[in-house]
Amino acid sequence: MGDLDRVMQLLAKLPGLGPRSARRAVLHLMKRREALMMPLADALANAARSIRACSVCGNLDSADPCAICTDDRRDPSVICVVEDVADVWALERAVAFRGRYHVIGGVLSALDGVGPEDLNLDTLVARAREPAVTEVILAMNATVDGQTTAHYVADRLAPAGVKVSRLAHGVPVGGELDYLDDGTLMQALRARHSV
Amino acid sequence: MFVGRNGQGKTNILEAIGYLSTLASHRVGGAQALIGDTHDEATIFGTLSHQSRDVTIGLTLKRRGSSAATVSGNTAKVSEVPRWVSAVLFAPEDSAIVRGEPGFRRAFLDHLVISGSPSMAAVYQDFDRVLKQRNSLLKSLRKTGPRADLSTLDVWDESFISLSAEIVDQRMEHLAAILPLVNSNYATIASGDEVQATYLPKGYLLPSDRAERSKIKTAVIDALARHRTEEIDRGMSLIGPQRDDLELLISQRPARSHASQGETWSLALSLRLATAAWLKQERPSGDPIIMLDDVFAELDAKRRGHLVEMISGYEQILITSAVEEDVPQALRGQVFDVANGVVTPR
Ligand SMILES: [Zn+2]
Repeated sequence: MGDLDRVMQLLAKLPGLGPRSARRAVLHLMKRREALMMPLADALANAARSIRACSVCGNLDSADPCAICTDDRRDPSVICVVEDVADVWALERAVAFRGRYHVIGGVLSALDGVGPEDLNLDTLVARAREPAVTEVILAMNATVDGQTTAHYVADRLAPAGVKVSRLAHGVPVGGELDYLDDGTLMQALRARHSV
Repeated sequence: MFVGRNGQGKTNILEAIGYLSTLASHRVGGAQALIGDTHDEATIFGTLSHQSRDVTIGLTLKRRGSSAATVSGNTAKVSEVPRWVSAVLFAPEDSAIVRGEPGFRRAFLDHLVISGSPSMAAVYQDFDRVLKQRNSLLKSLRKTGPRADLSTLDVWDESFISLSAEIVDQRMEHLAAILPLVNSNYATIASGDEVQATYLPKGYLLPSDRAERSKIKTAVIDALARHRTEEIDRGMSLIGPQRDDLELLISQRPARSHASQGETWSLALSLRLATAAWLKQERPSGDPIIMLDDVFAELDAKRRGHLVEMISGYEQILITSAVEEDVPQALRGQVFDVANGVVTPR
């Protein structure tokens, strides 16, 4: 197999890319060999060598423990539990959370053969038992699988004696009621609070 | 009115509209069977007009991965689609609501629930997911044997119980709402015989026909506890709305075993007409679309007459027929010929 074919074949395995878009990407890279292709190849090689999962929280970083876990300006008493590293990035982009994270690496799904032993939970329970930790926020997706997993994690955390909370689901900021789906509206109504 | 020989694609059109209104087909279970053999996906587009508002709904079913929807070009949740489309389909298969397997009656109830309360479509989607997860888990627990860790079954049960209770509650509430209309329709079409309809839980008991949701929940919790060993032994869910039934009685006698051919059709029509009348009354977005899929050939002159009389006031009626003459004169509007999947206005 030619080098180009190999690159195209590998690119086509990426989420969101098919064979067609992989061919386009390769052509684009070839046209910008110096400015794009070489730096990308180097960056990928470096990342592949240095990036690993943080042994404390499961976040991806070149340092272990990761930069978030070692940042002492962050509040060590609150841990936010998420499904995926992408969720850490989303919360970090929003600059809304100043505590620490715990990435469990998926959701319970018997259909996909994912059980509790496949999730990064034992370390979470151990962290929750540390005296410095007072609250664990469960920030799983609002899918049934995500919410069932949140439920399971809450059960596992109960003996640790920390406060366990969940994200509220409801009306997005700037959201017009008319455009909201029924499920979101109902959640928002249920989670209403007095003003 | 869509006219054409059988197998040309008439029913497809109604089935597509029906799918938008309930996310289910009246002919096949599951979306996979709706995708052409040589294709990876199937897409339905429908433009709904009500007063001066137009909304275009798109729904794509995929062979792999989950379906996708758009509302006026914007991405939307699939479970949002039924909120925009309200339709009631009359089909030859309807006699099975009275005489067929429990699955036909559950499908009737679920169509009623989703049409009347479109937000329930999301609850059904979640329920289907949880049921699949739970069955898959029970199957693996059966393999593991007595040492199995049941803690994950406990959490799936929590979701299963609350979704089950919501579905059972909604089925019973909607059933109670249309029952008077079923009776008045049946009295007009058939006779003065009284129709009774009772929700029939399988493997658990409800205190009354209109139990509170908390009581339904308790009943399901008890039943799951009682059947846990058996469920694990058999590796599948044995309790829940996916197993329940609806008992229909005509003059105190079970329709499933006792109804004559004529009574069967009178009752099936009454159930659908009651659904339509109730939706007309309850939904703010105008009349449901009435769809008659080749039903006239099934009905005698008297029942045809009643059907025509009762639906002729609806805003839109779509009819398919192999033989134009089968369709009563009063309902013949704009005709479209359907041949080999191509629709041509006449
Ligand atoms: Zn970390």
